[in-house]
Amino acid sequence: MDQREFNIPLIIEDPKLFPFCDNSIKSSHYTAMNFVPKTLFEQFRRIANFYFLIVVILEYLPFSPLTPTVSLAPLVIVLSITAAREAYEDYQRHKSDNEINNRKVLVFRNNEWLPIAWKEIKVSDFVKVQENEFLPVDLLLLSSSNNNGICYIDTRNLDGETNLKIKQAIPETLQYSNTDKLQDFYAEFASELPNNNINGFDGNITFENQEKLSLNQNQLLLRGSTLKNTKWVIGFVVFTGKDTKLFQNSKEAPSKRSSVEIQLNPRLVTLFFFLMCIGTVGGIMSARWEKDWKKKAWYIAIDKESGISQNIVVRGIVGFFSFVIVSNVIVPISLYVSLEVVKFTQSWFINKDMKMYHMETDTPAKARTSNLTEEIGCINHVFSDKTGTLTCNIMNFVKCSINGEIYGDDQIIGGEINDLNRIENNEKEKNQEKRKEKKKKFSDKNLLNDLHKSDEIQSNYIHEFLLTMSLCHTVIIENNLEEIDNYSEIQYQAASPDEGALVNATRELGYTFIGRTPKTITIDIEGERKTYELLNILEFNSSRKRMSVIVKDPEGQIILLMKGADDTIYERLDQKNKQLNSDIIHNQIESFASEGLRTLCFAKKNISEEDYNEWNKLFHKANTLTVDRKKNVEMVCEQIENELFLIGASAIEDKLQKGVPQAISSLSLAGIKIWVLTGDKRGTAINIGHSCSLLTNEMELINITSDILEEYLIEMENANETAFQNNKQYQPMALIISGKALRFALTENQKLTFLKLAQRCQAVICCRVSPIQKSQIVELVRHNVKNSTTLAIGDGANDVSMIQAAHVGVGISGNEGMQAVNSSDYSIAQFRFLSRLLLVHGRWCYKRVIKVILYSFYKNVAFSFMQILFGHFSGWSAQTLFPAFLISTYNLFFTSLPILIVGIFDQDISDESEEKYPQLYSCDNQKDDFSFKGYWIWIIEGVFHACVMFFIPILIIGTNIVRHDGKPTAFWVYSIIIYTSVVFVVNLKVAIETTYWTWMHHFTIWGSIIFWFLLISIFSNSLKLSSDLHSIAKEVYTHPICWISLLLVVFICLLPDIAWKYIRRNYFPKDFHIIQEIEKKKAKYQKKIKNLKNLNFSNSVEEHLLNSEQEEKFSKISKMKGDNKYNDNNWDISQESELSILEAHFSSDVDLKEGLKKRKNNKNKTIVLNSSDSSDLFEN
Amino acid sequence: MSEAINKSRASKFKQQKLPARQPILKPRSVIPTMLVLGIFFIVMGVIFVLSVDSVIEVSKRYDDKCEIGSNCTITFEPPSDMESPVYFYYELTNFYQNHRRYVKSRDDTQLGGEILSYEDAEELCDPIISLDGEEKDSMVYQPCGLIVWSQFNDTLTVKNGDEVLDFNENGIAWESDIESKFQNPDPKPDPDSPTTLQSDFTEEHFVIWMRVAALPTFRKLYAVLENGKLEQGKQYSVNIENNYPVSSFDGQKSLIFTTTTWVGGKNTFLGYAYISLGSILFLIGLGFLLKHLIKPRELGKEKYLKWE
Repeated sequence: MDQREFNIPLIIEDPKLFPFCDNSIKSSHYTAMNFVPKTLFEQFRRIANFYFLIVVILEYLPFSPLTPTVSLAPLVIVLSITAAREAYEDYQRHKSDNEINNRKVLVFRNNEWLPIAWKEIKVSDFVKVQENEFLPVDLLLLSSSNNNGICYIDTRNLDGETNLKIKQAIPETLQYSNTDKLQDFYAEFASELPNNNINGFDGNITFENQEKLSLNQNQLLLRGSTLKNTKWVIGFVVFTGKDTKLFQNSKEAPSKRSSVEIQLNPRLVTLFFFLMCIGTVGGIMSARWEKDWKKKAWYIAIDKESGISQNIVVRGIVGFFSFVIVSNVIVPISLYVSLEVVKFTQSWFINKDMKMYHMETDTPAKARTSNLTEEIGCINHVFSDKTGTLTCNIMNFVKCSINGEIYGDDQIIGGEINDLNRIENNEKEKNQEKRKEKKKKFSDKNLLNDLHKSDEIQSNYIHEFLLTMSLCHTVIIENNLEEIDNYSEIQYQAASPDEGALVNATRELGYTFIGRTPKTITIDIEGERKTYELLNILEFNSSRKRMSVIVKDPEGQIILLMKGADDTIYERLDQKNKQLNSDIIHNQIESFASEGLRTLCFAKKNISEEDYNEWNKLFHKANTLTVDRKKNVEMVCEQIENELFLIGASAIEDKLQKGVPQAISSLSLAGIKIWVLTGDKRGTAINIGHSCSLLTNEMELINITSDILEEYLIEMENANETAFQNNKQYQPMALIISGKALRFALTENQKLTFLKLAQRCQAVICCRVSPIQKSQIVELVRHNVKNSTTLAIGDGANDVSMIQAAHVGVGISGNEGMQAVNSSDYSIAQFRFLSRLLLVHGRWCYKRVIKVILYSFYKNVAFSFMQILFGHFSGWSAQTLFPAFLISTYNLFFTSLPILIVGIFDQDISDESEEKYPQLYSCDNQKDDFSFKGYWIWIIEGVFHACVMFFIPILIIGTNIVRHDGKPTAFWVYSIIIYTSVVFVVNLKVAIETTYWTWMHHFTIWGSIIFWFLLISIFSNSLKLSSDLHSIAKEVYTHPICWISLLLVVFICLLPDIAWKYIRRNYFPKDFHIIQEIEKKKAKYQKKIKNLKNLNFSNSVEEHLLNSEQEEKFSKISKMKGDNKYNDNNWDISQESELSILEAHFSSDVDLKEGLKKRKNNKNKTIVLNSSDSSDLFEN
Repeated sequence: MSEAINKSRASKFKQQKLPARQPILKPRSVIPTMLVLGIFFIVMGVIFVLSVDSVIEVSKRYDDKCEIGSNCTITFEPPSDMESPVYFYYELTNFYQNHRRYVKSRDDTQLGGEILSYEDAEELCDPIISLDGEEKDSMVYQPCGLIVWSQFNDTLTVKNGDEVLDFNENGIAWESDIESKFQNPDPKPDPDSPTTLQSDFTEEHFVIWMRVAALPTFRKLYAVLENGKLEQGKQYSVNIENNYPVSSFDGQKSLIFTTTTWVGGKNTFLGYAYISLGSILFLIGLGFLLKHLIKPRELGKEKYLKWE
């Protein structure tokens, strides 16, 4: 059955047999009953948790050297932290589910309207929704408080679009607006099956003994939207619960994992192999040892041991598992929890960053997922939408070409004078002017003159042009016309900003759109109201790239008015009577485009009554189809949208957003390739490319535009020749490719050639691309460029596929609704914040996360490796080197907090420097840190530290007498001495890796060490807690040997580290080293200046600083006074300006002293000023 | 402009601007620290060498000179005067007191004075649980476990000619062990019962034995000479009741007489380790210094940036 059919009212005797789902929703994942098993199952799907589960199970085996609690305790802690979070989140979901399910709405039951909970609503129920209420189901509109059955709905929650949408009932159902009528309602209804297409619906309804009536999306009110500007609506329920379009659409976005997380697994596997090696060595050695020593070591009485077979192979296997168990800590159990905490905090920092907060719209940046924080530190390809992303998406109608005549060029005539004036204007006025420009209105005296001129032809053209602009759109009016006195107060609601701009512009020109009903459009033409009968709207979509309306004018003539992209309209012009000026207009459109303006063409066609009627039948038929309706409707539209007559073209300006050029150049300096994907024309795109500094003058532009395969191949060949010429190795290039050429470029056998060319170019602009091409391009790069990390940024629904296809998707919370934002991973208010998001937060996060991961590996390797070393000294018996509870607390108590704090706060360089030197953000550099080489360095360091920490105490203590009182040491003494060095070394290693010391770093690093002493003293004072460790603290720490050994171990461990770090900084510095030094120098500098300021009246400090140059001073000062450009009387010395002078000197590498000298020079003046003011000061 | 509801507070924490120090490894701080530390470690090393130098240690192996089960006498001559206190140890080699099954085979509650049931003993003391393996509470060894069962049982008496020297066998174990960890049960185990492996739980040789050693070669304190001295050139003898078998595992038994200093006994490694580390630190510091003097790199110059 590919249709949903039911009768209204639908009467089913047994509620259990009701064929449709109910209307309750369930977003929660767990119930009280299944929470524990389900959450456990989910958590053990994580490889590390599963690993620890296996370890715990192994520990239950009789031969296990460790008791299960050792691993069980940390595992339980880790699991319960995650489970608690899950439980809390699910509780919230339950709460909101309950709240929603129990909301009340009026439902027609027992012949009256009763408030019924949402979850009780069933398919075919009549529901009455009041103004501002949410729609509880997908409702088929029957009637509304409006006589024509019109209602307005807000679909913000559904598709994110903020404009109100009109819905209208079919005339045949309007009568069902009261209880009496509804009682007698009986009809058969058929519709499509539940699907996720928000903008389409095919259905029909048949009343008894009547014709089948077609229903479409205009009658369907979707769950999740809100009723606006309408007192009430009545409808019957079509889809409930999970059948509704809202839920059909709410498929979970593909969950993205960062590449670091993906790379984490092979590294964990390496550790696992490492562990297996330890186990194997341990197993073999222990079998050998037992074979040799079984008879010899009578004191262990191996033969007397019960339970386990004496077979050497069995012994070997037991040995293997024993060593695996005692070394299990090598896989860091706290890693995932630490990472989660770190990433969560990073996301929180992103949300709170004031420098990514957009004041005008009160929008902060938002990390919508915390999975990808480190991914944004390593982006090398950015794919950006243009409109609304690079530009403001605030459209201004600035120019038009009507019948080959250009209007709106006032500025060009007076342009030069304006420019001169502008230069003279100071900053403040410039800002004011900018604000004015935002609301700039189109006005051209020539256009109005020509309109009213006797020159009939041109006047007629202009009339038709304005008429088309004011009739051919889907704009609605938000406010009530009766309440306003002036047309300028009308608030238009437009689906796209372009339409809004056009309708606003016609109002300025005297053709005001003042209202629409489903069958009419009313406009006011210079004071005269005219009502056009609206016959059909042939809607806009991105594949048609055009929209038309068919209206009957007051004189009874049927006209088709169309607006759309120039190529689609030119294809449909009347070929027989080719217009003479169509080429002129085409050139004018091109010139608009090259100024960066968005162009639209307007055309019309008169239709005879008979032709129309014939076509309309087809159209109606296509529209009542329930299968393939859209395709058929489009085909029918084609039949009438032809033989058009071109009227003219409009040019709409869309301003670049603030800071876009800077952001783009920062990103390119950071080594990121930027691709702009736009639906605009080539000219527009190139122009924008230039103005946002994506394209520079040195760049050689390569154009690929052909729409025929053969031509395309030739073009590609030529392009490749130019691009890969030997003498042009360093020539920057940019590739501009059109959507049609992209069709070929994206085919299986062409894509690699295209990609190679694109990779050669610094910038790529793809124009006239369709949404699906956007995501294809992203996927092309993502899957075919090695080590690519892609980021897609966009603001509109057409960017969603691209945002989901890229590694990281960024949504601009702009004017085109929230759909892009809702499917993105990060949302920002303005494009310029992208550079901060990547360069600052991304870079920091990457470094932090890598540090956390590598350090966690290191500390666990260092800890566990000692176990196999000790194996050699303990007869390969897998005796643990440390008491069991110290093994289980190692990761949680003594070593987890410091690295967490580093992971949250570390900054190798400040955010200012990161933004100032975008070059630091180089993906390759970053990836180095997490390469296998970097990984092995940390692992080897762990092994090295393990050896030092193990052997130095052995050599020092060994068999020696190490106490002044001659009393012997014991195993646990040795064990505690080693553990103490582990706590010291591992925490000091964090200290070495820390580049940013806040009080929290001190607190956690030293705190961890102090906590160790605290804990061990508690344990050694209680016989009950641990008899092995009884009084151990006293026996260890009161004797100098412990500290002597500790000092030696710590220095031997950390010396290579520090020496290498010193050598690297001073002789093989990386860029961030240099910048750290620059920052340091700057800070020192500023501190000095501050000190000087504090001593404003006493010159002594300054004298002191400049002592060495005393003799030169006066001569130089007098010389400098001469060139001082600030040398006028009313010069106001403020702290900032002074600092900036100094900074300027500083950054141009003038030495400290020289800067001070210059300052001294300024200071002399300050003192004069100050002394003149000082009398006032004292009086106060 | 709409009200700024979503604006976050400009707190230093949220803006990641907490006051912080960012130390960097500059020549001016690193080189002097290296040199000073190098000197410190060398000086410490020299002190250790000198202190340890004053320690006199005499070591005599005896397992090869004595049949098991016999009484024998080993003589030794101090190389110079050994002032009291002189510590007397026995040393065992190849004895894995740190073997997992050995370490765990004991029950600390029993050693703390509680009477164990068979089930309790079985849990921890395996394989030395009860007499003849009988599963009865009364047959449980007092105390149970491998460590007790394999207790060192040679008797050593130090003599100067016929005169027994005043070596004190008390006060040799950790005070805390004798005071609280090891307690006799009530009633005290009958010394003649076959289930009694140790009749006095606070006997100090026993207590020391129960503190297992970390390595397969270990020394355990046997007695202390608290007054007088061992004179240079004099012949002293040790009377040994040789009961403890070590030949099966190629072990050796030795007697050690030593004086101590503040870092313990004859521990030469300590001093040389410190001197070596100190020299390395000093040399590295010197290397850094030379490099810095000959060809320093200016800090914080933009010209060193890769893209400059």
